[in-house]
Amino acid sequence: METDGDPTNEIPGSSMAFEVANHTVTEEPSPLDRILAEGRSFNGGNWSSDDLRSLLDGVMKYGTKIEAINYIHRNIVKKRSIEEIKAKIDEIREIIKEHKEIILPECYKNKWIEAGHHNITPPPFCQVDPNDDWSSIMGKIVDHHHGSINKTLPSLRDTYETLFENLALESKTHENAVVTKLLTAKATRTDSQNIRWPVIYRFMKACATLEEQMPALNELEAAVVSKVLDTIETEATTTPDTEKSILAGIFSECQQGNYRFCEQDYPPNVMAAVQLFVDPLRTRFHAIPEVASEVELINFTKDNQPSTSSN
Amino acid sequence: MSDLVMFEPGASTSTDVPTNTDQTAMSTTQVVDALECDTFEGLMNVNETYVEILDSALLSVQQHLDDNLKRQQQLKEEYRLYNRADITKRKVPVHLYMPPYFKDDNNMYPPMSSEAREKQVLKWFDPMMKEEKKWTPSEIKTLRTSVKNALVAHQVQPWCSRRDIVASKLRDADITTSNFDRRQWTMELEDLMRKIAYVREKSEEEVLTASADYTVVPWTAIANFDFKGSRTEWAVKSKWYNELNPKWNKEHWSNEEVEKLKYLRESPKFVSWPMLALNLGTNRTSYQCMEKYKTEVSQHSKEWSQDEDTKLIALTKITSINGHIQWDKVAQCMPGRTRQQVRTRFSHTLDASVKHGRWTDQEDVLLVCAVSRYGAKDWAKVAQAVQNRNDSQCRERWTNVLNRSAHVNERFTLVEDEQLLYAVKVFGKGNWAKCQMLLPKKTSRQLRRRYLQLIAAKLRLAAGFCNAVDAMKSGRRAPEEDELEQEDIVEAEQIPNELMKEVYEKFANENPDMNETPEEFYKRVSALERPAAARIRALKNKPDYQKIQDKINEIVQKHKNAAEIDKELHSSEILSSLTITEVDVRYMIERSKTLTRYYEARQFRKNVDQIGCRVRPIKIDLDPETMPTFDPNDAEDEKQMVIVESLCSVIRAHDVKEWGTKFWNEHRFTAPKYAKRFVENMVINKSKEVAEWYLHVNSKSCNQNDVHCPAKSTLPPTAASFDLHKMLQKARSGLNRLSAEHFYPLDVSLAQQFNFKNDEREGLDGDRRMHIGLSDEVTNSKEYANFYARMRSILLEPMRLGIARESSSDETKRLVRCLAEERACDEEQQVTCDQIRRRRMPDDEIYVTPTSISRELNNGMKIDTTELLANLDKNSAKKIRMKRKIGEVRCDTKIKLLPLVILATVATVAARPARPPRSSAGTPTPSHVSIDTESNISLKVELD
Repeated sequence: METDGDPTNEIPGSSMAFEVANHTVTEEPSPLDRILAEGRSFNGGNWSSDDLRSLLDGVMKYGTKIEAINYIHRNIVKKRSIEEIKAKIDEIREIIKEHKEIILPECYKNKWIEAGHHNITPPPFCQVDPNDDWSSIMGKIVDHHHGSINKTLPSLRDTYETLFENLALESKTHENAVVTKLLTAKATRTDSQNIRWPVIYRFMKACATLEEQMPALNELEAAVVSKVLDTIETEATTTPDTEKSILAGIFSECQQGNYRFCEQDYPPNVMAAVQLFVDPLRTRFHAIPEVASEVELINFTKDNQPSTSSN
Repeated sequence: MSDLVMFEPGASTSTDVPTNTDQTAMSTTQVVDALECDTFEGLMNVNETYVEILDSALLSVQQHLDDNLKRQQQLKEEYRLYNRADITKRKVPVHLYMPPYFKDDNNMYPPMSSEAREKQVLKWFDPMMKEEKKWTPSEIKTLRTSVKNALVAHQVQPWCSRRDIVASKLRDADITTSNFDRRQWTMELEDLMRKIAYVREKSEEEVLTASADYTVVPWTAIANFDFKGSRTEWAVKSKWYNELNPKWNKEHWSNEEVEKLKYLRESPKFVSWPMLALNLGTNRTSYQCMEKYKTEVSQHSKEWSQDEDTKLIALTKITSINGHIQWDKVAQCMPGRTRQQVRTRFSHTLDASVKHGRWTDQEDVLLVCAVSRYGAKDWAKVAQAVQNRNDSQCRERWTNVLNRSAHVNERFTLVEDEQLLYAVKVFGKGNWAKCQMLLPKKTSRQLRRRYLQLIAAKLRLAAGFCNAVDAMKSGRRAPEEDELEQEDIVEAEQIPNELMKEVYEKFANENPDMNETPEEFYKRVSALERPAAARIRALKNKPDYQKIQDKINEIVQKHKNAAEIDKELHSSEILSSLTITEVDVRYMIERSKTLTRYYEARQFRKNVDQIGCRVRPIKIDLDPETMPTFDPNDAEDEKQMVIVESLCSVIRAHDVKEWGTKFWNEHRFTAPKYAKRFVENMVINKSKEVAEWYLHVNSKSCNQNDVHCPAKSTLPPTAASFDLHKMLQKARSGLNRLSAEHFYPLDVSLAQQFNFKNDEREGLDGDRRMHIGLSDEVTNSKEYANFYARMRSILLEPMRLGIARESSSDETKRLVRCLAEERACDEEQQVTCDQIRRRRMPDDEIYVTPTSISRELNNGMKIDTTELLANLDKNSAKKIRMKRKIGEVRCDTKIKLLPLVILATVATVAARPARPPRSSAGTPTPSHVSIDTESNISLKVELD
């Protein structure tokens, strides 16, 4: 696409317009702030601090399974019945839901937006790997979760490989295509060349699987790939500064080993597990971009599965 | 005349008797003379004189006796001191050298030094202070006797004093004392003596009562004299007041007392154990209360927990000295466990050296060897010889397997069943060793198991599940066979079984000096167990045993003539003679529940913890910040808030962990499908909408409302898509070099196009962009639109991530590229206005493709992926390396075909020798063209 207009006005904001962060420790909001503000009670059943402390020790050691709750009732928290203990744990789970999904990200978002995306860096006293990039960060986020989920869900790299293979089989060669319409283009011997779409898709497959040896492309095919990449890159440069700041903030926090912004939803479910691999950075949760496709569980049979069409 | 005679004899007798015997003889003569008086008064006077003489004699004798007793006491005291001196010389008690050091016999010591005072104030542990020795029964008896004697002495002390006073009065009595006073004093003395004797003859139970006052007991004297300094005063006093005092309740704890103890301990008002003992009100010591609570009340489950096992293993390692474990110390460190429990748990379960499972032949040989040496009673020594087994295992192996007679079999006949029930009736349930005496072919264990089977059979019969014969078949049964005679029974006990023979033969092979046969060995070992059978022999010698034997023979005879048709009748009679109690029913029910639970667990592959409802701790690495930290003086609400916040973190972590387990069990096959389907749906289906939009925008009928791309058409960024983006960035340089065949870079202006040569083309890098303008035929094709839509779906958001973290210099470069692109568009417009036609390459001009670009055209470009692989997660990196290994294997096969390709190329080059002469006819060929250039031209022609 061709862009006309004054280029100075369309340049994204520079770093001179933002303040430099002083790396102060942000006081995180408490899970109970919202409950206290609304005047609700956070301690149903009026548990004393000693009982709560006993419950904390029991849950910390034995977990929240039904067998563990029975054991906690018999040996640790003896003054409360099993139903009261279960109700207490459920109440705390409700508190976790409210806090995690609503309150925590907003506090940090405002901080990052105020700082500016160029000025968000880890504190000097933190030892971070300067070679970290988004790929390594997303790998760490996945490794941070439960091992059974990591072992089960394959990387999308395999999915892309399969996709490109199928697309290569379905596509056909465009023979004797006219090379260019530009009058300022370079003079060549011929004006037409073949566009072998299967080779282009195999090239993409090799890139997806990180192979060192790429399939051979001719000149026009290379130009087609370059053109498409340039078009997409031009569209990507229109990202607002606020989104850049939030993404930079998430990167900085993950570099320091703090993965709270990318944790699964609570309570855990299949959607959250699938989301871990489809959207490990939780960009949809942070509304980046504002209108984006949400991860959904698609159930369709083979008969309803659409097939790709080709020329 | 008579008056003068009466006066003179009395005066001379009272004064001269102790000194002169001649005067006594004279007085006797005078008395004889006095009897000649005829008056009554004279006789009375003579009688009184006699009485006075006798009294004085008695007094002198009593005085001599008292002197003798005093002398005896002095001698005893001297003897005791002498003995004590000997003891002191031979053995000096350690107590004398304990701090504050160097006490003398009177327990006196010098004043404490500053160091000693400092230690006393700080209550430091003094290594020279030995622990109190354990009280032996003799010492306890000595203490009780001493306390009893002390109480008795204190009780009779007033009477002794009074007795001494009265005795002294009697000794000092003279002529002025009246007979009445003498008689009164004598009676009082007798009464005091009687009281003293009565009190001294009391038993310990009568003296040591709860109401007695023990403060009068001289503890120092008891410690120094009765215990000879081996116990301190404090130790003696403490032992008595805390344990031996009769006022403490030593009876068995009642249920009400235990419940009250539990209530008082678990109430929030609990302060200390002495207060609890006082509130209990049953005269229990504080130590008794604590011990009872720790051992029984607070012990909810007697099962050993994982923590206890771990602690026990650690304690055994710490307290072992030269392989000997000090079980007393281990038991002290395990509250709620006795020494026996601790030792049994370790030796039977936790000892790593103990082997569990099937016995090997070597172990059997070792067992036989040990039994032949030590006998079949001292199993501790036998276990030491068999190194990997404990004493219980050795005994069970020997008794139940190796030492069984050859005639012992596993199946029971009806006769044996009836005999078993009769034996149980005679000896009672549980006395299986005695029951075995009546059934020599069975072991006691088999008898017990069969008895339980009979109970189950009767229950099954009562429930109506089957008839009596089928019910009796629940165990393994033997066919009817003849019973051994009385003579053969004795011999049968002496015959070893087959397994014993095999093991003994192996043992004999290893020891050539053995001269015994298996039968002789069996007899010798059985003889070692003979003393244990003394009770059985005594039982056989009883007169009632003959009746029992007759009854057994009667049972045997009854079944010998039984026909087959009567089996059911006999089975019914046998089962009817069996009496089932409530305890038996309860036991069978519990046992069936246990077996059902284990069966279900085995069927559903549950572990042992789930069977026993055991809960193990879960290890989760929690952030230390989640631990609640608050000041004890904070308000209750603040404490609750802090703890609730910590509970939020902990419960979330545990729920996520449990979800992982659940995910693995239930969703590990479905979740990958969902992820894959989502990606495929976005790339294939959603991209169609974008492709249609793209074609529509490029068409002439485009409206302003269609400028925006359809929403929700891009995939979220993932590691795979970001790596794809980075690979394409690395491939940019190659793509630029290839596309430079048709297009110029953006930064090359129209005027500089003539200077753009192959050298610059080879030097293109990934940061530069090409000014690419594809034809409408390509951009309006459906394939191109689909390709664009799919790439946009995958790569748009990863590119956004990269742009979000780009540095200022990269941002500047990107802006420069935008400016260059605008300049190129302007130049294109100018050329269009000038209507300049695109130049074409002359046909006669020779074009040479650079070598590096030719290589990329033929073989494809190569990209260094080392940095990318370093940032991958572990699983992905492994997969890629595996694929590369497989790819290398395939490359090796391709290398073998390469010479054929080279030969074909050479043939192609050789087939074109006529081309140069035709060219030279029109235009002279430059002499610098090499053979490589020609081959490249040929390959390029083939590609075209």
